[in-house]
Amino acid sequence: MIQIQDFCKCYGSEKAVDHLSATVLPGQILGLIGRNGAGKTTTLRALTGIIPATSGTLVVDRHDLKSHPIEAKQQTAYVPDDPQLFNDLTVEQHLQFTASVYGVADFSRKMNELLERFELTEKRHSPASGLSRGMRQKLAICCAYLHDPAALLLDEPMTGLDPPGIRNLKQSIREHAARGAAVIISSHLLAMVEDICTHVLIIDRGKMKFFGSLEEIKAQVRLSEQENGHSSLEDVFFAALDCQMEIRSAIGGSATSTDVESVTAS
Amino acid sequence: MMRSAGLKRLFHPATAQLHAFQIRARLRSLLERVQTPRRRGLVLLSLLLGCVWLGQAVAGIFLREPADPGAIRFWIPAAMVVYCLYHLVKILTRTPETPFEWTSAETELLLGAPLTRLQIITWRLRSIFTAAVAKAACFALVMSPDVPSVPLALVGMLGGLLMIDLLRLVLGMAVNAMTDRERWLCRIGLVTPLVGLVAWAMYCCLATMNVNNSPAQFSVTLMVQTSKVLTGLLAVEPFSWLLQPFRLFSSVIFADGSFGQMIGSSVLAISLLGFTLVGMLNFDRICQHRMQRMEADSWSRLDARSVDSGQTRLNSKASGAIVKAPWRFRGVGPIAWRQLLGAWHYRNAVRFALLVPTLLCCLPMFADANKETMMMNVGGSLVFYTFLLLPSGLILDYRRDIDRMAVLKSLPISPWALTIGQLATPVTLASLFQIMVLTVGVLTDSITAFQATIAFVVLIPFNVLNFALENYLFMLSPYRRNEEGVMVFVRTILTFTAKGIMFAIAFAITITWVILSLQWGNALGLGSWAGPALFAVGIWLLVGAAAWVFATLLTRRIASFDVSIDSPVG
Repeated sequence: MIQIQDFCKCYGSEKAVDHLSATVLPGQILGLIGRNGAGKTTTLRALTGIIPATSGTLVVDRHDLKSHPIEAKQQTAYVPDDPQLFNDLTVEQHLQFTASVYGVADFSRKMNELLERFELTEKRHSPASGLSRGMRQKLAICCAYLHDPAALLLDEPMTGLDPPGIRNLKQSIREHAARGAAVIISSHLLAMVEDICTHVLIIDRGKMKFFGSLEEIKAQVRLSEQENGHSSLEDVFFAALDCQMEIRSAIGGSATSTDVESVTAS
Repeated sequence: MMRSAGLKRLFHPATAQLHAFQIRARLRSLLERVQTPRRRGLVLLSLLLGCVWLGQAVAGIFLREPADPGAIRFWIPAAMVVYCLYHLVKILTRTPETPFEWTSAETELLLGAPLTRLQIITWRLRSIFTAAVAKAACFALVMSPDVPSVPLALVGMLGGLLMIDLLRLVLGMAVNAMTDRERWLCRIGLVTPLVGLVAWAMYCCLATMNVNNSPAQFSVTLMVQTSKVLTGLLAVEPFSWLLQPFRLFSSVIFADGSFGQMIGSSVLAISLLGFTLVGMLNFDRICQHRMQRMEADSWSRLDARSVDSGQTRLNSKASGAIVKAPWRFRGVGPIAWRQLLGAWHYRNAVRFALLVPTLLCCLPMFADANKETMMMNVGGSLVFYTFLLLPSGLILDYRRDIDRMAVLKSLPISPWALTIGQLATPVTLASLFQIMVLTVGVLTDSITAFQATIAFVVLIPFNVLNFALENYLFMLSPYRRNEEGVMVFVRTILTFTAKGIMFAIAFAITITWVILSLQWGNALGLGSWAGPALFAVGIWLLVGAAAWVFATLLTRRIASFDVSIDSPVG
């Protein structure tokens, strides 16, 4: 489970994220959507522990990121929008390193399966500097999947992937969610979000515009020209940005107002 | 078992594994690069330079008398204090984003991993330690005639270098955790005594100079006087206290082999290092908290003002404003413009980089010397400091763009235009610095306007040569500016040796040309001006030709630069 409560982040005199709250339960896939610079990557980087929150509470798998960062990070995997790898390490060495950091048991079998699945077997001894953009993305995904994280954070994960890679990734995200992982995907590909996400969080200029399940969000859309028809996520997104919708904060029955103290291990 | 748990708290096995992988990978990459046919020339050149440096080092070890023990015992800790001061100036003028200067890969793969802050910091300390071992080993070998025991010298210098690096990190943490106002106050607090020190050194230098001083003698005099001023300062309290921590390492370096002294000095030095390390770790925690608090305060202020960042951002740009694109001129314009913007962005660092050589060059003008000697002094100083100080102060060319080579090469701009655009900004700034010095020379009646004009005309191709050479050497084996490690150390030594050889060759050519031009001028029988005129024209042509050669070599290097093979790894 991932819990974000009253999360704020500022850079100097600029508010990047302003009082964001959301909960993603195990098995749920949340699509984080918004304009460029809306605060999506900042939110994901804060959830990963790369940057500290200015205020608010971030909880991953019942571990508060502030008081128990190691335990929280142990359960998290993050695929950044532009994966930064150690260019001099090979594909296999990246996975070895990840296995060592996260203490992965039976790592060799998992590694081989992942390399096979993401078509990197032939490149296992190639240094990361020699990989194409898509292959770097696949390697980052393999590293993220290696330790079966309870929280999976993906920032524009489809970038650079080939069609089989995209299909594989979508399938694997669903599988991880089915096994109980809470997933957050930040993406501008609204059709993809609609395809695989169970919930959506629309963020604009750091502020939450909408948060709820896909069904809820669609049910709320009352665009005059589409009252009797099907509204796509794209319609909903633009409606939300145009402030035609009220902010909702319910998700699949789990209220965001859940007391964080009661669910954290501490 | 307990020891292993304790060690794991400090060094996570994964970071140890990563370190081993990186060493193996760098060796593999080095071997691959050495074996690449296109790099054979470079490898041969490196080997040649390595032999020259080794020859110098061996000659320095075996063919010299041991230095004065009293002086060297003072100068080693003094040099360490100066090195710390250099770091302080550097951090205050160009504050890094974090004191540990994480690469983007480290940020995403290590800071996001379940590693404690302590484990991540020890990861950085490990790479610092590796580089320090190489530097200390070189020191111990070169200083072997002066020290009683080479292994102890290695240990002592290693301790000293680690101490400097720990202090550098502490300074970085402190400066990072400061508000902008505090940072400015620190800058003023640092610049004021530095200006005083330089002024004092200049005064002492002027007092000892005489009419017969040549440019080389002048530089030596200045160095001697500066060191005397520094020595005088560090010999009196409270400045002498600065030396105390480093005297411990010096005492290990010069331990005479008696067991008691050796053990005593070593224990004290290691204790000091350990104490500093623990202090640094605690200070890091304090600084992290302070930065968090500052960020929270900043949020409160923003909340109080009810500033919507998005609206501010959107409203701050006037939509109707007319923005002009820079003049293209075959692509040179936008490239030079982009570097000029960089110079403006780092204007304080640029000002500082130009201020120091300006002061040093202006000093001879206040000495009691005749016009001819004065012209030689000013010209010599301009060449010397432009060659020595400006390339490291004005990094506004390819050296700043090594990670943008793919973008630069994809632009619809020829390699020549690209090179001209990249060199334009540092060459212009170096020329501005020279104009400033020459103007001061004319205003103080130290040199004539005619001499100043001739000097400036000769110095323009020299500036092109200087930055083309610097960039060419850099592009032969590029590296990132925040890189640390043994390879950077080796590269620095080789580059320094190469530049030393080139400077010696240029000096020999200049002297030969002075003699020849004066002889030929006399032989022509046109008057006393013929020799100097011949010299100036010849030098201008020679420097211009050298500038053209190195600019061409640089352009060819850029044209053949393969982003996938030649970019620095890591």
